[in-house]
Amino acid sequence: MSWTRRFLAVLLALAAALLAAAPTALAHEERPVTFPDGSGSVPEYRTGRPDLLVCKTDRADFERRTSAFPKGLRERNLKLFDRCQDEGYRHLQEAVDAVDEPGMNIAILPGLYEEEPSQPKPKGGCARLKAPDSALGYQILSYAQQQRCPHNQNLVAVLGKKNLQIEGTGATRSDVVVDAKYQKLNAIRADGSDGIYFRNFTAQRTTFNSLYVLAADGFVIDDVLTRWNDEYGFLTFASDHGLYKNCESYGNGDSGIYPGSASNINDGRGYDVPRYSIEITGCRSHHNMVGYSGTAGDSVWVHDNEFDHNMGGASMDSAFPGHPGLPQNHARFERNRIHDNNEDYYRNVADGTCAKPPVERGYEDGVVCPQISMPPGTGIITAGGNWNLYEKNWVYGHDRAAFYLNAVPAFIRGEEAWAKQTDTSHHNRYAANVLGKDPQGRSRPNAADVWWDGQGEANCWQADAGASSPRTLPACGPRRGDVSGGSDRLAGEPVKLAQLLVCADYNVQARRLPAGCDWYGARGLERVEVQIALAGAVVLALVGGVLWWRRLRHVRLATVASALGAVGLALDVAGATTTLSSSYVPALALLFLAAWWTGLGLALRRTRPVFAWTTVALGALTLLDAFDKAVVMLPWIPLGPAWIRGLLGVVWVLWAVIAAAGRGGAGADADSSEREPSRSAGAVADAGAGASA
Amino acid sequence: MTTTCRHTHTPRSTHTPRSTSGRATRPSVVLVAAVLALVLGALGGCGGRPTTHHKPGTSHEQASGSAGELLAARDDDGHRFRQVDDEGAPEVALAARTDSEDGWNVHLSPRNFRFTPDSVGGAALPGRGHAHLYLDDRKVARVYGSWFHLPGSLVPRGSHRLTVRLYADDHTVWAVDGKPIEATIRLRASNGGAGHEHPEWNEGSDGNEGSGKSEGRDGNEGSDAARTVAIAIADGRVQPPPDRVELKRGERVRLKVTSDRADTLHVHGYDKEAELPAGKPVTLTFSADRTGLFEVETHDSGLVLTQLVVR
Repeated sequence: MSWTRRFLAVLLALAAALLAAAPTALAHEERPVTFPDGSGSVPEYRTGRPDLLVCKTDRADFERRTSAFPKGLRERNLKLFDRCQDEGYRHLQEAVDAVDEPGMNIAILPGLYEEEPSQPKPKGGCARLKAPDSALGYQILSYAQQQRCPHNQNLVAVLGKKNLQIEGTGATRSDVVVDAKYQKLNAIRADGSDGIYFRNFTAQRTTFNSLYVLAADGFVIDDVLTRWNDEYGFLTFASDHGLYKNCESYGNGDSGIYPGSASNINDGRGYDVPRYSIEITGCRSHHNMVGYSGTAGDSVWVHDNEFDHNMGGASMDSAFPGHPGLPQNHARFERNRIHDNNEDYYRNVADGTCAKPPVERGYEDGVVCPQISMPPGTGIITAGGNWNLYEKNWVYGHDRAAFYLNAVPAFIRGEEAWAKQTDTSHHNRYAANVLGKDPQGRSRPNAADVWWDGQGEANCWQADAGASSPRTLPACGPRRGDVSGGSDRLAGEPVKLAQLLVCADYNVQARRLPAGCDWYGARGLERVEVQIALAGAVVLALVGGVLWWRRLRHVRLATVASALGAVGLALDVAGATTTLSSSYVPALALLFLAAWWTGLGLALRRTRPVFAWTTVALGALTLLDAFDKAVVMLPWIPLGPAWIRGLLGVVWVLWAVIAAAGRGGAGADADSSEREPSRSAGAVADAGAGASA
Repeated sequence: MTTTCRHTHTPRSTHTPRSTSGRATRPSVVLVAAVLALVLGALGGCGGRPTTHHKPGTSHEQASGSAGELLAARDDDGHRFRQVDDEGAPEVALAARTDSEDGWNVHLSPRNFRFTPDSVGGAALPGRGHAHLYLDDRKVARVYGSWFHLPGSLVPRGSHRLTVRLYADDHTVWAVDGKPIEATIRLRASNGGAGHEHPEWNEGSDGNEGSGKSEGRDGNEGSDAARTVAIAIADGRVQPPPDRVELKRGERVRLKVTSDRADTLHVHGYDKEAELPAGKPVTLTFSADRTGLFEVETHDSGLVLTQLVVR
């Protein structure tokens, strides 16, 4: 018990390091909501005569817009236009307000909808609502407040309408445009509106989300485009029975598609599940911070989509409080094309573009303002998640890694129970994906296929994954649940946690881009990993060098070992560079260091047996670390060998300094007493006493 | 992303196991935990429970600006005018150079305006949109950038007006004082659009006035608005002798040069050139829109013809 607790103490400290480790994403602040009860269903698309029409009045404009439509569609639209002039509405909100029973259809005719009556800033009572402020700069309104003041935050508010269908009647989704012009947080908000069906239009330019579905049991987003939002294109929160299909989103500061807190219907299950709460298919999400994000994106089935040219393709995480359904679990990614997610939008933060008001940032020209810290150049990021399946996807052309997995301790999401602190990341399966090749088979390698902090149980990767950090990984068997070489660690690798800690210090408002982190462009010596390796190497080289010079320079074994050590230290620094970190070089460096310490220990064993055997032990641990990183991860140990090795290394350095300084310290005495073979029992005793002093 | 405030959890959490685990048999473990906690706590520097999901991020400031006033006036295609204040209004200047192979390379120089091809069809936002090019009031193209190639085949023989007009994303016409923001130049096609007669720049700009009337004119056509400077070169002499011509910024100047031998006319600073065929007058017209002292010279004979002082 106390053993476990002590480990947890370490873990918690590390966890703090991980704070941000959750490199990803994604969240928003909302009134407290709970999952729907799941009794609903995915709504069906309804054809037939629309109940309510929305159009503008300029016939010439309408004819121009529809002139290139196929004949039948043009005729239908012209008829609808005539009917709409008599009985229709000029603004979508008016039609929504006219919905008086479940199952109605609203048709929006081709045109631009700015919803002028909804645009003015709140006045009177709506300007003085009592509600908590979000740190993101808006009020967190209750449902009743949303009903009372629907346009405080929303251009179009759909509140409590059941089975409503809103459909554009154009030839493509760009024929109907709902444009918030950066005047509202949301372009369209569907709140408590089970069974809503959105089809065939575009919504754009908000200071948060374009299309927002909240607490719905049953929704469909079908052939809708969203773009140019401070945060999200599509946000569906705390919802069940959802379907996104054939959608597109781009130009968002967080993600294009965000099924946050999808209903947590498979909690407690293994890989076999009866159904998923939200299905996403046929969508393309590109030129965002991330294409897809899923804080508590539970039981989401994401298949046959394309996530490309973002900073990161997709991410799921358990890093933010206030999301029902944490820790994230049971996302299933299949047959998606996730590629070329290498955009560098942090430059827009660095040059001050993102400090301007949203309307002036130039989103329409390709500016994206990344809201949080994340590792650009990555295919799929999982920052705290369990039982996720990533199978048969094409993941290629990434400058960092195809897959990125790390753990997030529970207190970061506001849960402090001991038992929960290590409840991520486990049972994530990455199998049968095509890595480094496009669907046509052309070579499009990822710089590395895997980056993993090393924490968690029963995670596995396909055996054909290329470069990875660590270089060896638990391998997935043919069946889900089969893992060979599996490990179960309470914390990730120390240097990786240090890096995550540094990288987390990003602040877009303060224009703070941590200098040591390569996510923001640090290279070579600027990178914290290289700095750590270099600092360690300098200390060890100094201490080791002095020790050898003062005590062991006439001992051949020690000289050879020290030379190996020097090579090992050089390799260790080289292995910390971006190019080599996912190769065998880091393990090779450890191998040389292990040889150094082992040789040194053996050379010292007669003169300073306690220090000598400690040194040998350090060598053995280092060898174990190399084995753990390059051959197979050691099972059953709660922390990687690097932790123990690091701690022992600190002790060893101090001890080595003492040994090198030594009693009487002069070289001649020590040299003669430590030269092999030792002849002086007295010297041995002295040295031993010195060492244990 | 998480806030640094969360660091404050760390010391509290790590103290708990240390105090309850009694005398630690591995003090180093707890030591490291405590050290880390201290370090992290120091980094944190603020207290309280985390309440946000990520650091505040960018501002989410909601826009409230106006994109002008819709007028009843419409263009020939029925697009309404969208009037904005003169101050800070978009402007555009137009220039065309005959292409060595075909037609003209047309250059649009907008100010207070940027081309937004991806948001066309959306709402009008100030200072954004696209341009239309008209040849004698016939629309030639919608343009999303500053360069456009006008094929000779589109331009019948004779003299024509080429006009650029600025439009918003919603296809309304940007206007000032009830008039569209536009600029016009004259083009002359020598034979059914070959357009090779005079490789010269033709320029026009609507300037700040928003008058929509300011037309740049080809020198061959003459222009009331432009200041004419006539220079003749004979036997290596310049007549009148080189002097200074004082111009106000924005004033149009028309250089009419006749050389007794083939040469190239060049205006420094403006980098404008025209071929001078032997014995044939050539006119170069442009707006003096940069202040400074600029020499006008011939390239081959290296003569200074005059100096333009633009203030």
